[in-house]
Amino acid sequence: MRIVDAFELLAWPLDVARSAGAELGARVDPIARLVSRRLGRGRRAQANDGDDRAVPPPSDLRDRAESARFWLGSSRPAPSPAVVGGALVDPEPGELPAAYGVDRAVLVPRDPWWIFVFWEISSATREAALGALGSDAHDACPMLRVYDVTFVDPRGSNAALSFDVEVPRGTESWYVNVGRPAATYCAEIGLRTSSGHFLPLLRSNAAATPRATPAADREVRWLEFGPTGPAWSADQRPPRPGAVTPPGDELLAPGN
Amino acid sequence: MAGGSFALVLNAHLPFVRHPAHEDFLEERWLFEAVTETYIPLLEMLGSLDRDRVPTRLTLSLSPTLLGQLADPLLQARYLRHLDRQVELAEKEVRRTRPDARLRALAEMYLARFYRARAVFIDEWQRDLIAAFRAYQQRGLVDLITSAATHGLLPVLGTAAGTVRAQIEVATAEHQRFFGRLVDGFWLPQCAFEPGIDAELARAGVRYTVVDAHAIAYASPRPVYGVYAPVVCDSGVAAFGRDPDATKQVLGAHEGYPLDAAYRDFERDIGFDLDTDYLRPYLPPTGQRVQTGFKYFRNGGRRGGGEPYEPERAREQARRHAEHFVAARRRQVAWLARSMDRPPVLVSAFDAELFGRWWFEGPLWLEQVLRRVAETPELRACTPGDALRERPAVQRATPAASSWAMRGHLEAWLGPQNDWVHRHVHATADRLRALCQCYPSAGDLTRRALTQAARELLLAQASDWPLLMLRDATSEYATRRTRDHLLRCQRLCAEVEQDDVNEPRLAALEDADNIFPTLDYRVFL
Repeated sequence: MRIVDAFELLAWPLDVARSAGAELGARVDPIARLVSRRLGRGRRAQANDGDDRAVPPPSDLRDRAESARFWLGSSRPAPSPAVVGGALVDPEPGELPAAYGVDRAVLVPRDPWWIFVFWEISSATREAALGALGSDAHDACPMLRVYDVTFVDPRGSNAALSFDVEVPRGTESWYVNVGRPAATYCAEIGLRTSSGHFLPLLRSNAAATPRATPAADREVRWLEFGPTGPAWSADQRPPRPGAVTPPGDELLAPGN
Repeated sequence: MAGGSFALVLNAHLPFVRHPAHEDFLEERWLFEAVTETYIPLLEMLGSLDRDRVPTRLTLSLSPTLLGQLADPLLQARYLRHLDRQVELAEKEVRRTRPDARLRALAEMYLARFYRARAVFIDEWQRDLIAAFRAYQQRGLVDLITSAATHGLLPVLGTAAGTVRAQIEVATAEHQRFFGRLVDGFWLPQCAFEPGIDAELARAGVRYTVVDAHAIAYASPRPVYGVYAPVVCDSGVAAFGRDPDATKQVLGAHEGYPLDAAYRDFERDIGFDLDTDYLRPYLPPTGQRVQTGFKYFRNGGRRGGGEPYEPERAREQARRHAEHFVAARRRQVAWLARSMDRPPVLVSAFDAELFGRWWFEGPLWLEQVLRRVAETPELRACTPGDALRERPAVQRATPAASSWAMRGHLEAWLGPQNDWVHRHVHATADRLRALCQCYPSAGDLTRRALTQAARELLLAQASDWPLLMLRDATSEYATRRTRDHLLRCQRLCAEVEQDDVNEPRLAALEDADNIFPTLDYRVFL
């Protein structure tokens, strides 16, 4: 019985996730809510033949110019079978899968203050988690643990700061207000039991929120540009830049 | 006398909207309208500047999906058919508006414009507008650059291994295929940048890109000249910031030039005002009302109460606005000379389709700006590439993550209406990449299937679809396109995994989604 409960808790159907995610995304994010309201404003039903001049392009000029590129008038009506025809590849039948059967957690900084995390937990990982939790499985709730790994040396022993966000069951993405520009974050999705134990299931990539103020670093260095590109001197050529290194396991020891 | 450089950078792009299975497909009109209203007027402008030997330099990004469509014989034929219908409607309009001299003059103006577009398209360039841009590049008027293969939003795609590289490599290869030369500059789709993307650009041989003003303002270390000089990332790629003053003059919500009451109203169109029976031959087969391009009124009027458009007055206003714009740049240069020890570079960057497609008088304004800059001793038109070649030293700094969209970041693509896209794109990209790695050299059928799968994935990655999902009129189409390309990619992956490729279906897909003909799936390795 407990196993079944916990399974349900983790077997998140996509359609529920999608609508809940959309709704909650808007709820946790006042800006998103404002945007959807702004975009929704001024639209009216376009049932009448003479009245499909609705859908004014949005109010900002670049937005208006951008939508003008795609603006022909009204929504296209539902295609009739005669129009769609029996062509071999148009449109593609079927629906996108609800899940891909892989473990994946991805963190994307949305702006200087918010990050977006989406994830999928495979059934194998899910079952292993249930096994590990044992009798605690039935009341465990999904939780997102967000680590601030700014200035954390992945080889060092300094600990990362973290905070927890409880996410509703059936969710597969979340917007987190980290509130800190130019900081590097990494998230774990896991389960928290009633006793407060946190079992991490997946860890995301680490990524930095954009800077929102002028940089404190005022060092001025120059690079000569030759006719074909930068003319590096031997001591100037920097190490090859790579992606942000995710913090090592030793920094993010699971559990409290 | 203090001087400065003025770099005008335009981004011409449309997503891939080719639907060969349908005789007349609504969204193909996005391309046709942009050709008539933006690309042909831009070519006319370049021709006129060339004839008058105006010393000018313009930078134009032609996105790979736009190039693929401009080169496509089916779309060329359909464009011509569209243009013929426009001519026919213009002739009917000239008859219909006979009682009103002002409207009739406008109908005649449209008729002349469509005749002219046809002459440019067929007689001057034999349907090959890419050859036209190439010719102006060779004459030194324009520097052509590229953008990501399908205008993918690179900071979000960057979380899936290999996809940013594929978007960039396919783009530079397409540019080389069309223009026979290595590309110098790269337009970041939506101006979306994050540190790290520059290294991928450097790897593809790109020398510079353009970012929005706040990317430079918040770059690290702090750039000493702000947006008025390029910076160079550690990868060796230079970044130019958009001049916010120029942006505001053109696109400011209150003061933007296109809103002027003398200019033509974009929204009011006979497609919504006249009787459907009259319009039927020119409407899509779905019978819905759409824009026809015949707009007789100027800005400022309410529906039904607008004043008729007066082309001469609008032309005069465009000249005045160009003068105003160039005078502001001149003042800016004089002011900057006080605090800079080198000539500033002012970068004005816009979507090309702003000019003509939305702002009817935009191409005229552009031409006037370039003519006036050429006459202004303090200003010199250049491309970012020119500025780099002449600049003695560039400050080292990495721009901040940013975009030019709503509020300057990625909010427009990460919201409740469209964030579901990313999980599917990410999972599909991972699956295809893993599969490609299993076939370092595949047999013919497998190679074709993997290549088509790569094509479908790239098409699904277009940053246009999530944006179009935010608008009622286009949401259904954008959702369908995302879904269809992802499903096609996933099905092809499954067929390769099971070693059971359905050849007739693959051939049909290759025929329908025929972009990037020289694509090789190994771009995802």
